[in-house]
Amino acid sequence: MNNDIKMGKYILAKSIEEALNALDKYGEKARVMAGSTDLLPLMRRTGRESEYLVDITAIGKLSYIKQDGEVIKIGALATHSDVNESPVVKKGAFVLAEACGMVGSPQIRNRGTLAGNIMNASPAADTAVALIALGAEAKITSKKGERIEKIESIFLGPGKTTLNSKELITELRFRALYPGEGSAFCKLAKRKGMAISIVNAAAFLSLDESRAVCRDARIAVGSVAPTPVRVKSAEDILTGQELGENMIEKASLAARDEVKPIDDIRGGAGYRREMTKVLISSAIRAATERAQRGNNHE
Amino acid sequence: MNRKVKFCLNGTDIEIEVNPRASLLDVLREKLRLTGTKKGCNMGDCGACSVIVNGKTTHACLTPAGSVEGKEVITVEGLAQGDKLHPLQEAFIDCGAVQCGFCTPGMLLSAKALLDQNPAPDVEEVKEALSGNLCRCTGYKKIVEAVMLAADRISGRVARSESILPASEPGATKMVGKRVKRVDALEKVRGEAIYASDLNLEGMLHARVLRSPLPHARIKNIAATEAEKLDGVSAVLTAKDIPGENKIGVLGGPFKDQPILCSDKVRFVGDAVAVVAAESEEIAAEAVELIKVEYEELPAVFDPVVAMAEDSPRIHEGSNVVAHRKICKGDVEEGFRKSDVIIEGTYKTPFYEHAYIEPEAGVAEVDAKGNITVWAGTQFPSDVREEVARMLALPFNKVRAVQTKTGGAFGGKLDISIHCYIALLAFRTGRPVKLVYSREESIMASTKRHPFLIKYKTGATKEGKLLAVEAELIGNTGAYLSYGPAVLTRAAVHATGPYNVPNVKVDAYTVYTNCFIAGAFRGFGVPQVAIAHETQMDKLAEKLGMDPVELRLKNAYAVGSVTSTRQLLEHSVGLKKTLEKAQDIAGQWRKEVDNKSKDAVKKKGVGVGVMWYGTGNTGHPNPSGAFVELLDDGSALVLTSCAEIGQGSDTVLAQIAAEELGLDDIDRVRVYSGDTLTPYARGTSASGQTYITGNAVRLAAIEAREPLFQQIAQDWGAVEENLYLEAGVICLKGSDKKIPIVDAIKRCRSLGILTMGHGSFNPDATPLDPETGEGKAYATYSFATHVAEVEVDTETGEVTVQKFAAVNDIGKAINPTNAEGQLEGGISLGIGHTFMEEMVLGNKGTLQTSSFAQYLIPTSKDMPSEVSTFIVEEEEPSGPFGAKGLGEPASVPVTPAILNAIYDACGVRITELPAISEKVFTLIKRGRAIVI
Ligand SMILES: Cc1cc2nc3c(=O)[nH]c(=O)nc-3n(C[C@H](O)[C@H](O)[C@H](O)COP(=O)(O)OP(=O)(O)OC[C@H]3O[C@@H](n4cnc5c(N)ncnc54)[C@H](O)[C@@H]3O)c2cc1C
Ligand code: FES
Ligand code: FES
Repeated sequence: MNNDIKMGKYILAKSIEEALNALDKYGEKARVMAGSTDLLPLMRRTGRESEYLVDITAIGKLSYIKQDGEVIKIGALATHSDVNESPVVKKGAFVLAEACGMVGSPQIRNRGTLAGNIMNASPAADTAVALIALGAEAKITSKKGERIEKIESIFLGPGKTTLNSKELITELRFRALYPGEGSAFCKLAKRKGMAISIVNAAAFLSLDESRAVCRDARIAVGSVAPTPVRVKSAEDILTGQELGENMIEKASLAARDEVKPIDDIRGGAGYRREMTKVLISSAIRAATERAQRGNNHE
Repeated sequence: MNRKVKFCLNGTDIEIEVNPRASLLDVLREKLRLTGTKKGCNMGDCGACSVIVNGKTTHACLTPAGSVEGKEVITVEGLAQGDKLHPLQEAFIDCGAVQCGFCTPGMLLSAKALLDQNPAPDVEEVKEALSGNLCRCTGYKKIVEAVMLAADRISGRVARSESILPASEPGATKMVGKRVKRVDALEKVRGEAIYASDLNLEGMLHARVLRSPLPHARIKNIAATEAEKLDGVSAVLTAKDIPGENKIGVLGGPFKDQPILCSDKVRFVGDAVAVVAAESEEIAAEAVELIKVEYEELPAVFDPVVAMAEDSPRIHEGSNVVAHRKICKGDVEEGFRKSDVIIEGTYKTPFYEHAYIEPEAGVAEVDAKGNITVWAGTQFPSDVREEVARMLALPFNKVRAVQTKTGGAFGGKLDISIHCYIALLAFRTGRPVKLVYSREESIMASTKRHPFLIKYKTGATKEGKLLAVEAELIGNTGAYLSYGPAVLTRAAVHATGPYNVPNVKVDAYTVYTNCFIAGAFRGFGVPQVAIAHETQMDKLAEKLGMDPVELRLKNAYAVGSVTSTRQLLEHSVGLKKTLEKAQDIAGQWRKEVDNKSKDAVKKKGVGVGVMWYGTGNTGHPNPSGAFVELLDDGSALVLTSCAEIGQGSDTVLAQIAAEELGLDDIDRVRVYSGDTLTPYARGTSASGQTYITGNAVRLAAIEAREPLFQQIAQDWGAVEENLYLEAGVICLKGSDKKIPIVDAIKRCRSLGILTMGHGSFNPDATPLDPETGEGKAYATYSFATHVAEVEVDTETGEVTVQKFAAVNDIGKAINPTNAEGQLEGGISLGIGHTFMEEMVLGNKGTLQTSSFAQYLIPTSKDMPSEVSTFIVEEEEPSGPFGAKGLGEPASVPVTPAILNAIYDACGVRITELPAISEKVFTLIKRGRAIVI
């Protein structure tokens, strides 16, 4: 532990334990750093640097992506590129591979992590809506132990989550899709490469044996509220119903009326509302099609 | 606290002591002095800093140095093996994928990471792989081609030596018209080209500027003592420390209105108040924070229409309406009376940022004799010299401006930026001083394109003959003029478009506001008016039920036409040729467009846009000079202050000199440019370097070879006029007499005769009458017609440009590859301006788009899948080998063509830019509501 003093204000943690120790010791003064694609720009923009940066990128064993029975587990250091290219994710959670593939640029995807994307808690975070649609959970670790939190309830507001400064996300996990389930991600941005979403949306659908009736749905949208949100109204409309253009229209209209976006430099509230409808219906359509095709791939 | 970090850099294990929190980029550049990796934003937004870490392309600016422990890092310096270039570097040179070169190292690394993983990518994969690397110059097309070519060469699909360039005709040795490789490409692909931020002088101080947080305020007091006391601070300077004139302005004379450092008032958020020089950037930044300025806030005005009112707050002493340019020809009232149809329209364009990837940077040093040198990126070294000299009250010849490689400019580096600050600090401290703007400071302090408010009225007969045009242009020049009145004048002259209109009335107003400064930006007011006249033409065509190209052809300028300033066009008017070619293309595309299914969500459309553009300054002298010396071994030196900013002037000037000197190898000519110890040259602006400096070089080259011809003619007893040069040999017409040029030079030297020449050229233009605008505005004009095919997603309002064709009459294309590169880059600029770019000010005049995360410019993925360029060579007799201008004409018609295509697709007229998806969506919806 004395190492820290010698290492000054930058701690390159080699193990989870080392990271947790540092976080525990420095509390509010410390900040976890993963891909640093959010953290460094933020610190430079505001001129406010954290006293202790706990870089976790050297914790080699946190980069895994694996399937344990039904559950896909993604280590906190898996990058957007890792996830986008992962056969496990492509097969079992296409929506997430899709979302990761649309984050920023190759350079950003090669450094940025999913855990960082969640912890940055941007209302526009692309992987957040995909993870919410998958019903994903985060494994949160601290010196005190471990806890599990659903991604959909982790966000408190822009840049705010339920984690305290001594906690670390170590894993993201969710059930892999079964045959007859489908998922999709859609994003609208001001330009075609390297852009933050004006609105993004993700849908997960589970169909019954007939492959026509929706048994279960999870639908999430981003950039239309202080946090990424689940749109229950749309889910309720779909659940138990036969999927068709009519239902999709109804569900996406309900979503449009449920969300409460604001105006900002990327888009006006009215437009965001309308786009919520468009993106959600596209996502539902694509997810349905994938579910009906039996594999949830493209 | 520093720490040892061990990693493998370009194949060599190294261990260095660094602050682990410093970025890998700063460690590479500052500590290891590997300056090939560039800093364009320091925020992950531009990709100029891309390096490969453990096989993956990564932003060095977002990589903490401490985290590369044990990793493998590759930078641009690691690509070539000694003299042997990496195939990507070779392909970038061969394909003409390098312009200013600032994005090149990062591009190469992203491309290498791709090819290492995927040796046979398709075009879409290449575009995706490069989508995090912004390039403002090339339009990405040649970069993508280069990556594809390198992939083929690496895999052996094509032989390394196989040229992708079309072979020149047999026997043709001429250098003009050849696809000569850029003379600066090699150093740029190797990461060895030195931009100002790469400079590091012994004992150098670092500067920082204190800027106003308020849009309009009186300065009551500046307290600098706290800052001065800070350890490591050498100087804190304000207006009172300026020994000479504290006024700059690129137009000179009465138009110099900008203080270098404000003393009484600040006029926009970002106006400079004080400068600091300190031992490090960090100390300088801290010192700036310690300067306390007391302001008394004044009412500010941001809307030019409001600013025009008598009772509006005054930004300078006089009226906010600084200039009113009038053009008056015939009788517009009469014209409208006779018209069968009248079309009216109002058009609005925003402030645009140049967004060159290299932020402003420079270093200044004073020598023991009191001579001062400023090394910096600029488009106008001669002006840097003069402004610095005036500020320091020095004779011009004691100031030397040396243009370092300039990483894009587009008009934004014509004005003084860092230059006076560093010169003043160096002068006062006696030490070299360096200043590099951050991206945010660059966006805040640099000039922008003038927003225009245009009211336009067109009258025509039912046959489609234009009878009258009346236009009012209001240009928001912001807090200072920069080029303001010149921009509005050019806009007024070009306001009709290249069409015969007997009755014209144009009123163009340059108006001060408390916005940032608007100046020159690739088109000088013409892009704004082209949006108006081209939309008007389309509306007219629709009303008359005519084909839009037919309508244009009917009114198009031709030799013999008289412009609205009553200039007779005597030659080189290739407009109709561009229109005819465009008509073919548009016709073909229209045939393929299928919008039949009524309720299809995606609608396609085709549109055209036309422009004309006068080469050189409007009705003003703007000469350039050059020296050429033919050396003993037959190689040549060309000296001129002409600034190569990525557009390729060094290469074109070398070709022109080589042509006149009969040299068939471009390496036999060295162009030494951009240094004020060489002859004066006009700024790189108004698309004039090929035409104007090219002519100067040509004349100098002719004078340099003159003694050879004289001597050899005398030796042969021949008439000098019958001698000519070919492939390095002087020949005599109608005889087999020949002498290699080297032998001829030897012969002259033996007689004590030197072979050198000077040349200067000033385009033939005359001042415009203040009341009517009458005059010869330009010596020559370029013309163009562009065609766009778009697809509009009517559900989201998103527009995709699927195909784009540019047909430009540029006179002789001295270097066709360069010319295509200009066109492709112009297309990408136009796409950015049409769809995503806009500088936004908050209600207090503060900037909302201060970074590349908010001010978006096109990425490789925003470019159409099909981009084609066609060059019409309607030769200009007064141009060097028939050349005229291209840089700006490349971009002007892009937005008009796209806007007309959007209308064609979905019936929505965008008259206020940019056409963001939200706007298109809203208009489509509104249109539907009206229909219902
Ligand atoms: C040019 C650019 C483009 C971008 N484009 C997009 C985009 O299109 N879509 C999008 O969603 N995002 C985008 N981003 C944002 C960013 O890249 C992502 O949010 C990324 O996933 C952040 O991950 P990181 O590992 O870099 O996080 P870091 O920057 O390292 O950290 C971000 C935050 O998370 C915390 N943190 C990181 N890991 C953990 C952990 N394991 N446990 C607890 N806290 C942790 C940090 O303390 C910090 O508060 C972009 C960013 C840039 C610079
Ligand atoms: S400098 Fe790193 S992305 Fe711009
Ligand atoms: S060549 Fe790409 S930015 Fe200039």
